Amino acid sequence: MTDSPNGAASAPDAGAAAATAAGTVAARDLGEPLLEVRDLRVHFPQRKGVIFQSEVGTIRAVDGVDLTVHKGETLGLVGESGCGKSTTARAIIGLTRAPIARVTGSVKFDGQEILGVGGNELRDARRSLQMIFQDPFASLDPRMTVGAIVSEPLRNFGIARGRESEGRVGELLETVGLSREHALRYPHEFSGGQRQRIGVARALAPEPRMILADEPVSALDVSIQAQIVNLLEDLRTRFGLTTLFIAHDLAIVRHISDRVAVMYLGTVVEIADKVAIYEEPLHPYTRALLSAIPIPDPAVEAKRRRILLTGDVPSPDREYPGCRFADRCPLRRKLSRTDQARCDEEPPKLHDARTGHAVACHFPDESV
Amino acid sequence: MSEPVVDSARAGEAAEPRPSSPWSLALRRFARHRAAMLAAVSLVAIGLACVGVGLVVGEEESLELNYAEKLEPPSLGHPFGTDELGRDQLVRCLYGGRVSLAVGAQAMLIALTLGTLLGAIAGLRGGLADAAIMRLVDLFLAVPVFFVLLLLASYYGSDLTTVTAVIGLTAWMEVCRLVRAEILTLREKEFIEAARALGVGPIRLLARHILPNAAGPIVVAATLGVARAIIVESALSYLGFGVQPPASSWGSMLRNAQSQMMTYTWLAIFPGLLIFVTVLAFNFVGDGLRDALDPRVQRR
Repeated sequence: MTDSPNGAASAPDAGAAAATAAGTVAARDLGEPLLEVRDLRVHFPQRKGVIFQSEVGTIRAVDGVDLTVHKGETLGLVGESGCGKSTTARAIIGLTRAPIARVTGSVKFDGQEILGVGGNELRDARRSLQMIFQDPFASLDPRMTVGAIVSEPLRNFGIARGRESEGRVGELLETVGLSREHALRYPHEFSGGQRQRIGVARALAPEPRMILADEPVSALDVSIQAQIVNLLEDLRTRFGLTTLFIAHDLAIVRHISDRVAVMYLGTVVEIADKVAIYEEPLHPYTRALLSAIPIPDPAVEAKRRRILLTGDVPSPDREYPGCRFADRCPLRRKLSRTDQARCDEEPPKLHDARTGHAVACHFPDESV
Repeated sequence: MSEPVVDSARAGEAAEPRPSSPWSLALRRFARHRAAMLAAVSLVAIGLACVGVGLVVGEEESLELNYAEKLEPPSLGHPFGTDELGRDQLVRCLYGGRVSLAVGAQAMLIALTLGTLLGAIAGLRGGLADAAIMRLVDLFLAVPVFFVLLLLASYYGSDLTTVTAVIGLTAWMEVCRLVRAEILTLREKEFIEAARALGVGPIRLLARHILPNAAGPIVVAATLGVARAIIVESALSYLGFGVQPPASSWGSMLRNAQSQMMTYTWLAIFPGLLIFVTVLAFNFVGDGLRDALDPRVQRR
């Protein structure tokens, strides 16, 4: 419910939804929102020229994202490569900035606006909002010891220094399944999985309330992936962390998330409880995405009906008057002329089609 | 959900007895580069001799005239022979080496500081600052440095400070471009983003994360820069604009030897050899450092 972009406009819907809420299974108490993203846009202007620069276009990497992550929950964010998942996370934590990017919209953390703030406010926000990066080989400074890497946040946020910091680093390393002695080593002496553990220890160091995990396992071997995912789940229960978990692996997202948001070309097209997304996907894109998961049972697998998408992911360098998915949509083809025109001309808003199940499609109830 | 962590045991096994920092690994790679090691040893030897000569023969003493022993060929008493005023050539070469090495090192330091500073500003700020600095680099590269040096020397006299400063001020462009390029590459790296996400401020980001990772190419450029500065200083002194008598530098000794080097060859050979060996050694060391510090070129 909280994911409708404009609460005022959807007030009648909300009333209706509340009436049916008692009888709906999906209507569970989501708790207080911790992170609220509203109409987040990250545009990268394409410039030409050396001194006299002119803008020749804009890449709309993120183009109107709405998300809410509630206290204590894990929200999975899925979508194809290049759909803006990572950019969304980077924008939330303030890593995409002018003049390279134009960031607009609103990101509220625990009620405080953190988008576009600087100085102490940004520092405070970053202390409670930490990120785990995708590539464990690129995200650790090769010239620093593991101890220095993990203690850096302690130092920056003025949490601990010297002996005290050393002790904390040891504890953190043990928390993530490494040993104290590892503090003296350099990143190149570790395997991918171990490096990602170091990354996790660093993210935990300032005792954040929320973790943004940007595809934390996609660079790892499958066997190591499971270990890291288990570690993250373990830590989440231990420290009561709220997590935004970005991935393109639907199976992992299903395993770790409470709710799931699906992104397509810079926007969230569907967001709902995990069970609702996987059992009853409403957006044609989500349906196509889920139909691509192979089923490890030959009998069932043979009967699995796949929804094949035609065409490539369109380029994010232009504006779309209607639905961004329209030219690839398997559902649109089955619609009447007037309905098709609606897809092409009117951008679908993310709205609650069921209780707690928001979708950005004009016809969420049509079957594909 | 709360399964014991599986690869912690393996992590323990992977333990090596000694921690190997990237710097110590680079040092080990450097040690395996024979030519570079030999060059480094020669440089240290030359440097120590130039500094140590002061303990044996004082500066005043080195300038004392002794017509009884003028223009003697190399012998046990005077391994490099004596000049037309009877001064020991070895001692003069070593005192001259002080000047040459000092000018080289100081000029390089100036160039390094200026180049790193401007390169960092260009790389980190981008935009107009970047464009302005890079055009300034182009401008300086288009200036024929040597003629500027000659011009300045003839206007402002040729004290050593001026010469050093001018050499340094006209040699920073390469370092500047290098630093800028390294920063542009590093800026996009995830560990820099990670550091920013952890609240690292811009100055610490530069000092602790960016520069150490960009140090390899900068060190190489600096080493080669010393060699170039020594050559420029020698050339200036040779033309009579550098060090003025009675002080010596390798270049001024060559100038001195010019008129009589067909007869008294040792006057030209020894300072010339020192310039040659030193510059060559700096180049070899630079080469060795490049191999040792650049992880992309894993030849050995």
